[in-house]
Amino acid sequence: MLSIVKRDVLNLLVNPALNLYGTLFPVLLITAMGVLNQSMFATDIISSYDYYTVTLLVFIMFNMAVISTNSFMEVSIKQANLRIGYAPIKRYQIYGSKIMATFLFSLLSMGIALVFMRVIFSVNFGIDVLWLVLVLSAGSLFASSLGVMTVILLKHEESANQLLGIILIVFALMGGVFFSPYAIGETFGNLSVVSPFRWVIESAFLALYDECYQVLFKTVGVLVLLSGLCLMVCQKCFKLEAYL
Amino acid sequence: MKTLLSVRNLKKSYGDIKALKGISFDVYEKEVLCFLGPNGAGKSTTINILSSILTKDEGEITYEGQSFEKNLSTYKASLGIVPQDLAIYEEISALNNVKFYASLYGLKGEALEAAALNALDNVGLLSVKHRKPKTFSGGMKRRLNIACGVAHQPKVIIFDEPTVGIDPQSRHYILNYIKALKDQGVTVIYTSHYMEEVEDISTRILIIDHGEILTEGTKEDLKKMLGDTDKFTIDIEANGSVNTQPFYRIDGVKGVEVSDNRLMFDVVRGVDCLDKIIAEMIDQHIKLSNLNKEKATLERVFLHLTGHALRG
Ligand SMILES: Nc1ncnc2c1ncn2[C@@H]1O[C@H](COP(=O)(O)OP(=O)(O)OP(=O)(O)O)[C@@H](O)[C@H]1O
Ligand SMILES: [Mg+2]
Repeated sequence: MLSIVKRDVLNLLVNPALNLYGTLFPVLLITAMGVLNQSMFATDIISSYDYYTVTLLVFIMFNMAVISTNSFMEVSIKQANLRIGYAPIKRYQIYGSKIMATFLFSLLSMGIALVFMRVIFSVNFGIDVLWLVLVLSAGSLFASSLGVMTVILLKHEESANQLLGIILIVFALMGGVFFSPYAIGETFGNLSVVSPFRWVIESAFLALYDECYQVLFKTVGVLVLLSGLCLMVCQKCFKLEAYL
Repeated sequence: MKTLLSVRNLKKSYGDIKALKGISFDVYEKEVLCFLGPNGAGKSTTINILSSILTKDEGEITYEGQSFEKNLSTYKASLGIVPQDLAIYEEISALNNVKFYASLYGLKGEALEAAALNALDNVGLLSVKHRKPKTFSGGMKRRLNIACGVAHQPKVIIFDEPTVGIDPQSRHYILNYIKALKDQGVTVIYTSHYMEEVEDISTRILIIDHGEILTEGTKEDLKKMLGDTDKFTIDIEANGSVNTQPFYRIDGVKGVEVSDNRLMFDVVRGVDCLDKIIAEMIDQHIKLSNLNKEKATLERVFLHLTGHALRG
């Protein structure tokens, strides 16, 4: 299993598009949003960089769903991935390693962004950045599992990416990644409680700045539970012939 | 001959397409068993089921007398698969490709390195082992595809059309490698629609078309189906004055037919009588413009069995 995970992580890193998405893109996105919205946060205790580092990292972590679909079935590695299935290994090792690889990739991506924002923009992570890391990790674990599960259910990488793309952007808008959902309207704002983006963002802010950890634990718990659910669906539905 | 694999009444459909209509065959130890069949015959479907990545609809497969699903890990460990579609990582070196796949079979450390180098050597890629496949020619990629499937030194190796669309040099490497495997006592299952290859390497042939096995046997067995004569076709300049009687007196000539500007002879295989036929033609002042011997080829066997050509 370890060698497959290692292979899958390297496959993500040698793919130039995915590599940029994981390394440069988060930093640029956070910086851009931070600069553009600086004035809005002028009177607040937290700066626009503080705010967007959290919300956009949540966005990036959930978008790891699309990375895991690539890791699993991207055309240029699909056949090579299928070949793993000829070997005497367990079925779960094939999809499990893709989830694991995407998860590790997201940790790397998160690490780069956090260090960069801290060093360059002296972002203040409140009480302890580890709370943020914890809840973001749970988010990316869920996203990685969700991505792989979606490909298994839809059987095609492209259709999985299209579906996930729509869901992610809707939840991101609802969840207040870019602006408060209440800016659109009261009803939309209330509806937005269904967005996992909102749970993670709120629980992160509560833990980082208000020393309130209960919501964070709950969120992490729910995300881990949902990840487990995805894994169960994967194990039930994954057949090697999906690769044919 | 020990039976390694035994397949009975294997069926597989994709929706309405019946890809396999209940085929049965055995694979014996140390043989080179070739599946000869045109596009869409069901070769890859058979291979994919044998390699356990595709589930069958019906039928039984036993390996060394046991249902292959029962001891799936042992079964898979004794197989080496070379799939029809290239299954290699373009972005990592040839050596790392081979090492990665061999490592899935439990090879480690020096044994892994040695096995990978040996496999690359066998397909003539040792000198480019550090290059990435994306810089390779099509034939080199095909050879790497082979090395990745065989480095763990399996007992049975399955090749699915490994020579499709490649340069003569690569084809040469591949066919020689298969002959070497035969000499080493490895059991080989090989699919192809190139009859020359199959004639060259097979110890036994299964002819498959439209999901059915039409016949099986050695190439000699199969050619016997065409009868024991060869056909000569001789184009001539005019056929006004051909007397066929004298030709029948020549030893080996079984039949003579005259049609417009053409003489056709049925000649017992192995009897050398062409020179006498030509001598008789000269006697009769028949001017010869072209001579053609239709050999007993697998192509003709296929045509004979199906009524259509193997290619195109
Ligand atoms: N995934 C699939 N879905 C639908 N039909 C399929 C699928 N795979 C194969 N077929 C059909 O099943 C039949 C057998 O195909 P198969 O690939 O086994 O043939 P083959 O002998 O390997 O041919 P080729 O020489 O083209 O590789 C064909 O009619 C093919 O179109
Ligand atoms: Mg095929």
